Amino acid sequence: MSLNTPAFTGWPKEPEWMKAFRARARAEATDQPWPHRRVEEWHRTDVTGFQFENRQPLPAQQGAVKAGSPLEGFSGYLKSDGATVTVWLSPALTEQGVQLLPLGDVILGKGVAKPDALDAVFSEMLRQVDNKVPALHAALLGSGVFLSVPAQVVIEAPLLIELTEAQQDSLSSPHVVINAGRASQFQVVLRRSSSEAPLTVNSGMQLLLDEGAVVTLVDVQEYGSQTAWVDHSQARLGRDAQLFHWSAQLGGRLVKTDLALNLEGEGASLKTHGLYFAVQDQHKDIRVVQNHRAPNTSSYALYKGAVRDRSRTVFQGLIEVAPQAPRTDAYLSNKNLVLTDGARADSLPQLKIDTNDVKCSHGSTTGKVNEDEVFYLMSRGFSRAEARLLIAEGLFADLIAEAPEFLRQDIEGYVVRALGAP
Amino acid sequence: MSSEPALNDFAVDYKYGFSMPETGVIKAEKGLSEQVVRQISAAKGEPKWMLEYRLRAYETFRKLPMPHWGAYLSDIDFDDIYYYVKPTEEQTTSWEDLPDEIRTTYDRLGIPEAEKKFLAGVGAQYDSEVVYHNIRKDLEQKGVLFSDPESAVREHPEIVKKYFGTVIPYNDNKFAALNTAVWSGGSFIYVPPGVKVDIPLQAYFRVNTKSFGQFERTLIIVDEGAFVHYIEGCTAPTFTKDSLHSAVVEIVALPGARVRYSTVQNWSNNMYNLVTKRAFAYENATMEWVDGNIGSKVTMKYPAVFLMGEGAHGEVLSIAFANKGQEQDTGAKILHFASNTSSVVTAKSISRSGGVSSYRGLIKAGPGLKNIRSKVECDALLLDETAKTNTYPVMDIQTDDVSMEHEAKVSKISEDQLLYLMSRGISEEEAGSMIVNGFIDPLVKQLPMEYAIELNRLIELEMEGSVG
Repeated sequence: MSLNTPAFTGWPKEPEWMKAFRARARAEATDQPWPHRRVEEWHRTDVTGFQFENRQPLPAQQGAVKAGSPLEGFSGYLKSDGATVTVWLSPALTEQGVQLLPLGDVILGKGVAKPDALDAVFSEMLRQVDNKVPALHAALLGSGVFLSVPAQVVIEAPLLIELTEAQQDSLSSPHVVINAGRASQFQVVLRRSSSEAPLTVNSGMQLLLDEGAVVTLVDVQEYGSQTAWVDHSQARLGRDAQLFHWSAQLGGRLVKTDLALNLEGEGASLKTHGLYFAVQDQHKDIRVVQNHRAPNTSSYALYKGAVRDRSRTVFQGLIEVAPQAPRTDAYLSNKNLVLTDGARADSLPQLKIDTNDVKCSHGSTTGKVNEDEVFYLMSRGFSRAEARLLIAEGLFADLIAEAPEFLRQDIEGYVVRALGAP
Repeated sequence: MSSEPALNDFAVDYKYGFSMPETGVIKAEKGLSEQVVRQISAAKGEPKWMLEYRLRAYETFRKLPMPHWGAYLSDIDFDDIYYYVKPTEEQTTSWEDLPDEIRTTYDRLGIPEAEKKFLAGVGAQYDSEVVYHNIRKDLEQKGVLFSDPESAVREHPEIVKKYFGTVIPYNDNKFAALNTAVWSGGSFIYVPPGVKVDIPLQAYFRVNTKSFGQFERTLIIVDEGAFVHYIEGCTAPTFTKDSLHSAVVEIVALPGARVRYSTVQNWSNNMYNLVTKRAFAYENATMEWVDGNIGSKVTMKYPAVFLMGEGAHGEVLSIAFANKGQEQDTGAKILHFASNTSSVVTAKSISRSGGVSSYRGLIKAGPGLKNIRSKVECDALLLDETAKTNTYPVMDIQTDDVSMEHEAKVSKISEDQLLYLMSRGISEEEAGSMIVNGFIDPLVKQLPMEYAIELNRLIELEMEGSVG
């Protein structure tokens, strides 16, 4: 891919700080190597599968912005389908200073007091870059969402973000910034989807939780069967902040995600729960880092996956405890169900512990559907396929029960397709 | 006795840090070259096929990159090492025949004493060569072969040719290639079908020369239904310059055989210990590695079992102690290549004073296999806030008929346990030692009593001053 494509020039009237940021990101994208298989994180996923060379980067334009109408059960939403962005936010929240905007509007200074505050946020992202892929994301950053909830604001109903990619052979680089002010409380549901056209999404997200913020993020990936998705996301938790992160990796052809959950403030805590299914030729490589950098922090990760056919999943989980993080309490559990012979589930739970006053452990299991249980259900009149499905579903029931109600039916549909008999 | 300035800082209680004057009869020039490889081969009067194999390995060593993972190895200067030092003209079966310096060394290490009490055979290597070798007559009569590999190349070329380099090919990794090029000494064992060697065979590896590299090569073939327990121990003087120990150990457990290989590694803290160990276990065979790593500056060692036949079982029990300045990067690799195979890995590590212990492991089950069971348990104990531990397991499962469990825990000495013991009148230091001994007890129990006592004593030494 040529670094001279017009997409790298950004918006026509970008402010100086953004031009400077883009130039730095572009320099990184030029200098950094493609991720090599020798690097453990990329050992099991071949970067050429994302076809960066054959994709056309989408220009920074995000299409027309339309005002939406209220949606039952939500405090606000932003829906982007590549051509149009539709936004609606409850007037009460607008009054309280909540902002839910296309990221481009913020960069261009539309309706935001201090757009260059993003400079520091983006620069933080750029500092984490260690190969060409996230550098390209930063350099090509063009669409996305900015959500900011001021201090003390408590939002009852969830906010919905829907990002849909549609253009054949495109490379999109959406970026989501969620800024939770001190002691704010809210929930966000992020749905990612795409058309059945072959395309690549190279995305990023930054979750910034100020002191005492309590945030729930539900992240559901329902991409089309020809979509390749690579993502580098980070969360930063301040003092006593709490994050509940729930994700489901349902669609896509090739998936590589890297989520760094950084507990930076004393007393911060997080839970991250995820489920992933892979069928046919899908390849999903999921990495989650629980990064403890302050005392008295806790994290709990639970990831469950199922594979079948010729698919492969890779789960990489890392608990990292810095010397300055005594009294860390961290746990990671990864459970994999192998449904058919030849499918492959790799599990790599890791610990890097640099101080002793900690409670850290992980567990990983990989197995098949228990034949005794299948036999029992069959003796009660279920067919073999029904019995297997019931048991497999049972393994994911606790995670599915945590999904927001309006999503549950969709997710169960995926579960039946993924776990059911061929 | 020559005396290097002792590295008191982290070798306070390393009682094996002494060195003797060099009395070697051949010392190859420093550094590695084709010439040195040829010189080693010539000194042994080897057949041509072995020399050619060495030269091929040497070329490969030059081409292969250093491992890009694991411990920091860039300080190793391959040109600043003596690759071959022959200590005596002849190997002997009598301790009395050894030169005084060498005999005194082994006396101080307690080897002749141990042989009398509880060993069926002993090989003692001093720098590059096995200087003493002996096996109980009754075992010899049953056809058990226990010698240095050089003798085996001469006397049993048919067995050596059949197995040498088949478990660990010369191009397996950079250090296996290095060993294959310059190997010297080690052990060769063959146990005939059905023979059970009821008490252990031991090899003891001693380094005496400064800036020296020891490259022993061990090949153990245990025929159908036979059993052997092999124990290796190792120590070296504490020099200010680093030494290198890079062994290759190949084991073949034929159908129904059982092999146990125990290591009490107590190298001095200037030793890079970079070892490749692997076993093939065929139908219904059992391979057990008991791996204790107390000494060395850096150890990278992941004993492997390839389960090649149905019903085979692999087990790795591993203990590591990383004290100040030490990095113990150890673990296990179990590769299931046949149905109805099982494996158990139990790894315990203790770190203190900035020492780093890492568990690195692989469990792999190929496609189409039935009834694969594997269980891995890693426990790390951190004695102070500067101690470090890492866990890097990989589970690569490609079959649906599998039960695979992995668990890892990191903890410190519990205040409650300490307080309880101290309330019973036990000093804090003793209490700490007791808790650590309890922590490793399940593994120490697997060693013969004499070694268990030795290991406990070594750990107690490492523990000194750790609490309070």
